[in-house]
Amino acid sequence: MDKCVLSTNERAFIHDTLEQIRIDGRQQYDYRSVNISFQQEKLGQVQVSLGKTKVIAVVSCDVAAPLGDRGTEGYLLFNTELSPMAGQHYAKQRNAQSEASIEISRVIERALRGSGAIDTEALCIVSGEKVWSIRVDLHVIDDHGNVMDCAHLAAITALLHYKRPEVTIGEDGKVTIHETQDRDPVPLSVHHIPICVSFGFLGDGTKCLIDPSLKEEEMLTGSMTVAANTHGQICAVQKGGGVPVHSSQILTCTKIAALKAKDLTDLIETSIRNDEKQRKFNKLPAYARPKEAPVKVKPVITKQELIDLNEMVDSDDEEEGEKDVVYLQELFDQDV
Amino acid sequence: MSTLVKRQKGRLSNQLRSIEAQLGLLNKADGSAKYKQGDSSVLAAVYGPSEVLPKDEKGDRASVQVVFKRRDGKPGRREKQNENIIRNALEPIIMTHLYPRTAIMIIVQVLVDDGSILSVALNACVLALMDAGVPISTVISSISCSIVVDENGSQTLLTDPDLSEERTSIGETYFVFDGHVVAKTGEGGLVSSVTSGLLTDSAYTSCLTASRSGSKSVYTFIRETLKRKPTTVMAPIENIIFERDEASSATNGSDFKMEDEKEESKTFSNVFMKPI
Repeated sequence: MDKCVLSTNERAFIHDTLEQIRIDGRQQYDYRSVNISFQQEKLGQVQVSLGKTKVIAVVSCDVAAPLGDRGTEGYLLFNTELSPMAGQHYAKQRNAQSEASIEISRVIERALRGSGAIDTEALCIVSGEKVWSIRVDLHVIDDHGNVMDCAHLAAITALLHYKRPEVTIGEDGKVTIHETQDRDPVPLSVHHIPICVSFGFLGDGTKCLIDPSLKEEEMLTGSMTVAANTHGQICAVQKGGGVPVHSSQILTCTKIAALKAKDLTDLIETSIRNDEKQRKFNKLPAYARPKEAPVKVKPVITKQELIDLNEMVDSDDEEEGEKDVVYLQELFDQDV
Repeated sequence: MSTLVKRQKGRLSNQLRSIEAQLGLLNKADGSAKYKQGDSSVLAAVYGPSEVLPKDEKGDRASVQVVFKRRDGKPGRREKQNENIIRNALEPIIMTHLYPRTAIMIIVQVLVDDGSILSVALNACVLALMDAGVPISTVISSISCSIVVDENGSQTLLTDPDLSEERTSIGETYFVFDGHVVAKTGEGGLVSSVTSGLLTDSAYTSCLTASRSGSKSVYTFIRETLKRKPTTVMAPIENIIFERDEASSATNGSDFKMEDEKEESKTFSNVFMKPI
């Protein structure tokens, strides 16, 4: 139940041909094709596939008390689930939160919350008492390499897509959270869009590639993730151990990351815009499906109508009427 | 409780929501299925038969493991319970004796919960098992029913309830039926029964009968899905109305028919479906 088993020949081949062509036909600094699809019924639920790797991001919110020293800041929590659906080797992990899933959560958290991309001050409802707690769950459903980038894309797209309920504070200080059918929900405050770009290093650290696929990931001796945005700013860098890499290589990687970030940001923004158009076209409400009022079940015939019917039937034909009356009475008298 | 009632979105009380299914969408998993009933949708994946952890190893059969994941990822006791319920329904039908000392792992991920999620999950698991090619002795299917009470105190049976209906119900039932047995004889074939809330004997029996008819439609759907190419997305099948009880329809006069009710309820075979 290993993630991926590579033969010596495969390893040698991947290593030697890297500069000319990679095993899936890509060049050294090419990304796999990205596909973004939104869940129709819910806002803030997105599935992103990066090649064959698939991650679903789900955004939900709740009201919570803020931390003592940060009374005006809301919470932005990330939870990555590497369930056995992504790969059978994940069933072996002893605790729910393995190292890999924690690393992914932490990098995405630093890139999105740490860099100020998502404004947590805007999540404040009543200073010192109530704040919004936004929770992003990342479900990895297919692991074909580079879960980090795929998860991050899903997270940022879901956060851009999500709309939280509208809140009003009355004169007496009472806080009202409005249902989606009363007031349109409000998008989150996003200042810039960081994109995580993962690099893999092979051999002695001189060979570098972007977006490793499953077999390449198995062969990596070192890896680095750079979160950059379209303005060319670096939001977060993670190089956790692995083979030592020359600093000039690191700088090249950050430059490449900035370029890739631009392409991916365009893709995200286009897909969100298309989804908005689709919702308007399908006449789906621009907000989450409103919670319908509890069902008021009305039987086909009311008791009064039944009594009237009985009387009417009685007068028609005695025999037939009797049979009907018995049945109808049973219907209402029985202890259901 | 044989009166039909109109509920939200124009559904009748014995009408199922539209069903969609898509098979084979994951690459790593041996089998996968995305199954949707109305707005409730679930993604199920199957790995196996494959390597088993020594602590789970069984000498004479495969070990069936189920993992149930909520949409918002928070772990809970209900998920553990759902895992047990689903495993108890699937373990008997999987031919585990063919693969001793292996594991068959079934993972369920809830995408959207709009009611009847346990039934939806079980149906998705059955499709995923078939997509994985795991040998099963029969096809099982599941439909949920719930009992709702209105102001007058009269109870109505609702098949395939959505979330708002489930929340206002006084009793919920979940039944799993053996498709082959039900298709052949039209009775019997009960594999699993889980209820919650307050139910009288007659309410339980009515739910059982209604559920059986509903599961027959799902069973036919599952068989049709497998006849097509694995990755074809099935077009939604609308307006599935299964036949009512023979006994109740005989005594019902024309007084109790609703205005826009059709002459005869369509059975699943009459509904035209086209793959996309």
